[in-house]
Amino acid sequence: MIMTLTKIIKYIILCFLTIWLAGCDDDFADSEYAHVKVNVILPSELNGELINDASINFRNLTSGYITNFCYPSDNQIKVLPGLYDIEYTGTLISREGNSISIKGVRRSVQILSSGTTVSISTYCNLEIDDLIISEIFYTGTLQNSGNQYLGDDYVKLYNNTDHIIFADGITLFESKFMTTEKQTFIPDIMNEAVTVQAMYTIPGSGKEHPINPGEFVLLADVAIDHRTANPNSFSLAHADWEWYDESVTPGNLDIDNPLVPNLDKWYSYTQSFWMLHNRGFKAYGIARIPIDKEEYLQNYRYSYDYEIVTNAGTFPMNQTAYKIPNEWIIDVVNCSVESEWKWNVTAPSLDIGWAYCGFIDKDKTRFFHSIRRKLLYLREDGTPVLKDTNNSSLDFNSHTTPSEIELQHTIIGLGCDTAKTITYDGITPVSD
Amino acid sequence: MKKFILSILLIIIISLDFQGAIISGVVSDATDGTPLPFCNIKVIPGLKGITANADGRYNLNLPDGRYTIIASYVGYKEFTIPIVIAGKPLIQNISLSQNTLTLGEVVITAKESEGITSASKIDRAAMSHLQPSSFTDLLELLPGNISKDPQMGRANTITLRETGTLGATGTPISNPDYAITSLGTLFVVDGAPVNSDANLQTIGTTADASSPDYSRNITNKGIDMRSIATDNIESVEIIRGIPSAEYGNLTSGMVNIKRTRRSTPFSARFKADQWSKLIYLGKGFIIPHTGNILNLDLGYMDSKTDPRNNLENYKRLTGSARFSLNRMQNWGNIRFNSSADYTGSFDNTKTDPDLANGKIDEYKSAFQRFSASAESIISFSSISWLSSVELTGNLSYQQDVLERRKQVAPSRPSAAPTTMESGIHDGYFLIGEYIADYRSEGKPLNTFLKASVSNNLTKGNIANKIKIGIEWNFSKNLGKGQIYDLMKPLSASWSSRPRDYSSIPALNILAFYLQDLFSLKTSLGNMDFQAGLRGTTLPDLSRKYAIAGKIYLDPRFNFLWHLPEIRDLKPFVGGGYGLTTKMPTIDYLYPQSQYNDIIQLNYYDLDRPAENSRLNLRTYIQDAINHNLKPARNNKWEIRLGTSLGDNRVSITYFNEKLRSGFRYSNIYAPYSYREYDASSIRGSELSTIPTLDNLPYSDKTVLDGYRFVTNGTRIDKEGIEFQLNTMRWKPLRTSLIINGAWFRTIYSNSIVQFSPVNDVVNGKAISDKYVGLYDYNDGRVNEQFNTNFMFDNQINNLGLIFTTTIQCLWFVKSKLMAKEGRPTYYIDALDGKLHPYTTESEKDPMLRYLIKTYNENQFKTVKVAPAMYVNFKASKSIGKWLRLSLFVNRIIDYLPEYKVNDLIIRRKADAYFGMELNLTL
Repeated sequence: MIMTLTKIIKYIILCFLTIWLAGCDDDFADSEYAHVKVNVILPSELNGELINDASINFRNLTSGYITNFCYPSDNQIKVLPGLYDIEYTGTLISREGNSISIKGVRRSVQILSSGTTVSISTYCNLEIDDLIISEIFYTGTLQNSGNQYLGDDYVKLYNNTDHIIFADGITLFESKFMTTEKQTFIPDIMNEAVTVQAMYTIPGSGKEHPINPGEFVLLADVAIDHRTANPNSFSLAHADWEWYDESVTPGNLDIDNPLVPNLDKWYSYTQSFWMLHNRGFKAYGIARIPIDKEEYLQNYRYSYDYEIVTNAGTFPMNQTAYKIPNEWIIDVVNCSVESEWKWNVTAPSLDIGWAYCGFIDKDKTRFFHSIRRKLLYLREDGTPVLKDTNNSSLDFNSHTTPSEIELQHTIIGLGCDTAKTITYDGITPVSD
Repeated sequence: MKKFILSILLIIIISLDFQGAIISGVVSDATDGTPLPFCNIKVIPGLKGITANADGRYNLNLPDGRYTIIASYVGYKEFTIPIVIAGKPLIQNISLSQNTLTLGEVVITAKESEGITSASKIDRAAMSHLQPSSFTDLLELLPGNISKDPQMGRANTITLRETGTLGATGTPISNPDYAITSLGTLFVVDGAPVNSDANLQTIGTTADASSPDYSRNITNKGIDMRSIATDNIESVEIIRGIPSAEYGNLTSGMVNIKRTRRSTPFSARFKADQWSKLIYLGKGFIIPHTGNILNLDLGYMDSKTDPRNNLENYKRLTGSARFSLNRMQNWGNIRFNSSADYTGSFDNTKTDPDLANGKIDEYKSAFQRFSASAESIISFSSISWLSSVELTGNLSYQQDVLERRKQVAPSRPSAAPTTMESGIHDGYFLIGEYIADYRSEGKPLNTFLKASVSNNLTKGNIANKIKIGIEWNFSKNLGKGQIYDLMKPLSASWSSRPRDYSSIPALNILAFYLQDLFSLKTSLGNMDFQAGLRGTTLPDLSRKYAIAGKIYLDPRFNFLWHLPEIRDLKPFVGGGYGLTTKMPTIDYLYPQSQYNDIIQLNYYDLDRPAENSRLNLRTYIQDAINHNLKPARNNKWEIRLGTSLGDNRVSITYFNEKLRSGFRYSNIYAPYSYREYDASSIRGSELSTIPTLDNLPYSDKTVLDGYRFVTNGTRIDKEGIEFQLNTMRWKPLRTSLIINGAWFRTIYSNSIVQFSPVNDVVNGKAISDKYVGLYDYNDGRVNEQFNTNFMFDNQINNLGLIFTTTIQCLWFVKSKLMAKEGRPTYYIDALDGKLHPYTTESEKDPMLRYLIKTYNENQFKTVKVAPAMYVNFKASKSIGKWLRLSLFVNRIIDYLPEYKVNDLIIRRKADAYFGMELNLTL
């Protein structure tokens, strides 16, 4: 999915052509134009927020000629009859203060005469100039006896932008708090920072690990072929990095693939190996911490009081963890299950929804499932653009078949068939 | 041998002069004159008791003086007659008249003992009214206790005079650190202690609270009361105060069980409740022409922890044959009791294969105890320097088998250490699922021998009872021990190793005691003083132990002063002080060694993981023996006050006990050196077998690791007030009221400083690999509770009906976590293995600063549980001649008000526990 240089050149030429063609306006009489009524269907999740700088582009597929209209201020939209790609763009500021772009595309629309009505469904997307989390596989698989197998958990990052992003210095973290247990933490810092219990950073000077647009980064717990230990699993030996927890105790043994580089372990709450919460009650995220590791470890500890409230009574507690300021965070996904969700453990500006695998606590249907970010559209070069509105409920396809199971055609459940189709997001199939 | 001793004794007796005379006669029925066999005859003063023979004849040898003879016989009214002995033989025939009521009034609760120390006495009638499933149920009658549901899915251990360990919400939790509570309570059956010192049935040293073994493990916890059936018990005395010096190897108190040794009709009991079914059959035979008695009984109980779950159950099978002989000779009296007993106690749990995807998870634990006892008491009526000789012996053999079978599915490739030796070895990779089998075979063998002599000296108003004795207790486990395949351990993070129990040395405990009970009759009332001294030693223990060769002396004193009576008012004051000592068990003296395995190389081969992977370990065998281990010792004192007024009795006891040397396993940290190999140069594709270590780059390192170590680190401080009031029966309603209860305040904590590692892994390094802090705080709780039980006891004799209504009020339960200091005083450093003071510099150190622990101040607030009130109802009714029907409902009514803890409203609920039983006597 790498954009080749020739494609970039083609694209530049196309842009020049467009500008040149734009100069040849008004060569046609008004009667030759077709008046088009454009009906923009705004995303349902919007609540009457004001949309700024909305515009509609009509691109004539025959001539390549582009006409730009402001919407809805340009009351008259008129183009020459022909075959068009119609694209709507706008921006809005969400209640959480994020700048969200709204886009919608209709491809190959035949406009023949005046009175044609075109409906465009639109969607929101954040403009983030960094990698995003595209998939988290935390549920694990099952062994033949029905026992859980958990070593095959992974996280995938994705370059959703149109340019190279360097993965160096991106920190993968797990929240300390659970989405299934709402507590009052004193002091409360949730509006400024995320409280984390595990942090693993992609090593590098800053320019060592370029990720092209449309390219994935696979971070694995144990980067080995898991089929040796569990025939129902798959291989993660091709991972880009793994988080390896070195220990001198056999009971805490983690497996290291010497061929896959290890993430730099900044902090972990456990002396045992770290694995993703297999019922999915945590938030996972990535951050770029702008200060060096020692300084961070020295200054960003966070000690807090809270009370565990149960039917039997309350238990006053104190814990110490680490905090990552919200402005350093690139992307966060809150995970939970419907029956247990109590709250999101990150500020609303980072994520106002949550994704899930399974529906109840200890749901046995959750195994072999992951959460995958939704496909919005494909760029011309075929690279997918994934949805990111900081609302994991809407941005993710929850409870879907993991991409690695699809790509490796391994089984999709205990006693089930192998995966046949490969999809972009667990739903939309990749058509050849 | 016995005949030989007897003939010597006879010679001694014959050669002695006689003072006084023989009184003899026949006991018969007043209506038709038929002789009544084996009537009990008591003589006051002197409290000498004998039994008439099969023909109803009795004879007694008494010094000159005035006496009262009391004859009692089941179903007959008591007969009392004063007599005077003046050197001439006397014939006194006794005719007894039948008791017209079918049921006499009986005591159906624990009687507060009138003896020299505080004790509760529970007899047959109280037990049959209570309808117990096991001995555990009897404890409800002790002051401070309320009725509890049987918990057949876990070991039932005893707590005397304490709240028990409580969790953060004031609810009971089990904590093995305070096992001395039950280990320090002695159980004696017919004069012989039930020894649990050689019990070792556990699943390795890897504690797993979810394992069925965790709640059923009885090692170091004394007696599992589930295994004691109550049906053949005649009476139980639970000594809460300072026991006589005759009894030892205990810290807390003792349970003295006397079993039925008399002629009884054939009786059968069938009990059923929510959880269990119980059957008991028993009969006491008189062996014709000898007057000896043989009691035979058989009992079976089948119980479930949850009535809906057939796969988790507990079964008990008991059988007993007891022979009793009582011979009156003209020189004195011989009593000989012997018994042969069997107790089988079986725990089974299993996961339902249909519910768990065919997973295998089974646990079976069987304890089978075979025991033979003999006790002979020879009393002499005419030797001035010797009143009696007692000999007691017991031999018991247990066959304990614990089996666990489990499908283990490592959730990722894991590894198991497999070596039994120290040094450098390779571990074994656990890849994929397997079935693990674990078996522990324990065969504890215990022998007990005791000999004592006593002499009663009476001169005027002073009476002395002197008793001197010696006791030997032997325990040894002959079992094969833990048997399992280290390549198929019960869990993927297994670190324990198999252990052969039979190679563990035996434990010999030798004790002697002397005691004098000194009674004085004065114008200020009768005074009794008991002074005793008991010495305990471990004679054959290796000299490496500090405890070896030492004699631990327990001085014990009790007094009871009956103040002069003022009309019906009979007040008394009593009290005592004593030291009690419990020697360590076999497990505490010879704990299982710990294996510290340290990874030197962790290489996982990607292509051929099962063949070419290598986990190289440096293994240290850490001897967990503490050669400085001391016995656990408890300092007790108590003050008692009480009075009776007619048939009303009241008593109140304040007690205070301090135990600072209870046994526990503490974690000790030490540095271990190892070689860290760099696996990155290994090329999997070039390997044909496991990689060699020879050419690998390495660095030598040290790491801190913890190991279990037995210490005297447990503190239990007990304090409280116990009270009991029995009123006389109020005739119109035939009701008496019994009020008992207690206030307990118990402190459970560590008595020595302790290491406590932190879990943080910072910058790829585990803090505890390098530093572990030593914290000087008490990791414990201060618990308090106060309860009162009101029992209304109605006995309508002519209807054969007894019913009781008990209101049990638990006024409060309080628990407070003791304050903790989060800053360590010292820390141990992996580099030198030494303790360093934790300074202000340490606080700034990038790693050491993690050793400071923080606490929520609210954790240290007292949690108070609001009052709880329950009403229990029990009734038993005789139907016809042979049948008695009983039923009970515990918590038929409850009052559990809401209360607040840290602003949270707590609502409670209680379920009723009910059952019924049928008793047949033919």
